[in-house]
Amino acid sequence: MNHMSKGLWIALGVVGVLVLCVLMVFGSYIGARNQMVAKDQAVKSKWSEVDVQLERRADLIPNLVETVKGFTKEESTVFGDIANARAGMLNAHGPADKIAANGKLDSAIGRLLLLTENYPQLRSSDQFMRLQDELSGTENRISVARKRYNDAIQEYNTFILQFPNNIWAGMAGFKENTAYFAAPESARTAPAVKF
Amino acid sequence: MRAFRRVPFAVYWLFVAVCVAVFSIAALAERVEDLPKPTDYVSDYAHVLSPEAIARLDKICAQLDHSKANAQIAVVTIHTLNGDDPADFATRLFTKMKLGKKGSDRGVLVFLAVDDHKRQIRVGYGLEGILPDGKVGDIGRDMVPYLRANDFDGAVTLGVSEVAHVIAADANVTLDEEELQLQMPPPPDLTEDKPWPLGVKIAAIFMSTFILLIVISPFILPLLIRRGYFKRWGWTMSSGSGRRGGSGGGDSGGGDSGGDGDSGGGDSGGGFDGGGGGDTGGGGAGGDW
Repeated sequence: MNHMSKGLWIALGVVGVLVLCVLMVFGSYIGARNQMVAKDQAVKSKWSEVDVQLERRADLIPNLVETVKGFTKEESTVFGDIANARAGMLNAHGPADKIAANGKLDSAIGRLLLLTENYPQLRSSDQFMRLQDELSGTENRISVARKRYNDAIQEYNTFILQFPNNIWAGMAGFKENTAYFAAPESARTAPAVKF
Repeated sequence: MRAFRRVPFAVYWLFVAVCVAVFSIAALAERVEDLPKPTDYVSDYAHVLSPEAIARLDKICAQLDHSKANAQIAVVTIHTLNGDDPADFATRLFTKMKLGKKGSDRGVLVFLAVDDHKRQIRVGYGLEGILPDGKVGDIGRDMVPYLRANDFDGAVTLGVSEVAHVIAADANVTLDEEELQLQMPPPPDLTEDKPWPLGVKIAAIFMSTFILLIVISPFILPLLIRRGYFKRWGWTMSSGSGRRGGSGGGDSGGGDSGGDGDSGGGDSGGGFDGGGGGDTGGGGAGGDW
């Protein structure tokens, strides 16, 4: 009698420990998964901020082109290029595509601004200077939004790649996000606004 | 004995090295992370503004901060960006200072990097609507003639008051025009070469003397000590003992000036009590001069 009860107790203890282990693992999984969802959402919301600023810049372009055309009165392939780049930007979907399209738009804007350097009157006009302000302001906003977006991705990636989260991420279907938005080469060189 | 004698020199040079290090840190301190926490609307780290101008700017800023305009304007001047991008620097500074209240984000930063001739006006999220980049750029360009003439008082006062007017008009707040109708001098003559202000001259002379003293003292001091000039403080060189003997005698006891320092006139309804938690998305404009 006594013997049996002892075995029962051991079995119960083992089961209890097992249940506890399972609960802890399950808790860890749930906790990690919730955090992954939160961090993934943070990346998405930071991206939407980038997106807003990219579109804002695309919207400035027709006005800029008209102003430049009004002064230059010459045909240039730059105008066609920039229109194409803008259309590409507006038709792109998802971060990776938009980042690529934005790179093309960067270089087209750079060439447009290069063209304006032959027209001092244009460059000193109030209208053009304000457009330049808006353009460089939008570029600043893009770079702020880009940095916050990249930070959010990095935080997400660091989280899901750490042990034991990497296991839970695999089970819950969270993958490493590689859609970093690298600063474009042209941003460092081209449209530096000088007056 | 010989070893003992060498020790003070090692200690001395260590002291010099620490001094130099501290000074160079102070000189290079113009990174966003290292700038001290601002205690005022105006942080004139480049020392280009007069006390009167700062007082005037403070009053304008306080009026916007402590009224229903609910906006924080701050002015920061530094010497150099050390090659940083001006817009990026100013934006990071803005985020660090957290200008404007959290949520409403109504803040403006007027920023000058004096040696680099860079000006920036950064606008918080909440004011982007009434201060679009083009307008902010116009305000910045209005400052340029003053900046070119090294009239920083005039430039900053003009910039801040233009910004303040926009915000006040939008919020239906009337600013104390007495402060704002500042005796704005006409855009100064650009050919005039303004000399260094007196304070800067004195500071420069003082600094160079100090550095010179530090550098030459290891050669001069032992000489003087050997000749017994410092005997009465117990500083001797021939006998190792009692070197530090007389310390503690030098406390001069003076100087405790009590609390009646600067109470002065009426408190004008609250000053700068730190950024309110506002944020910027990088709006605003800037340029050279």
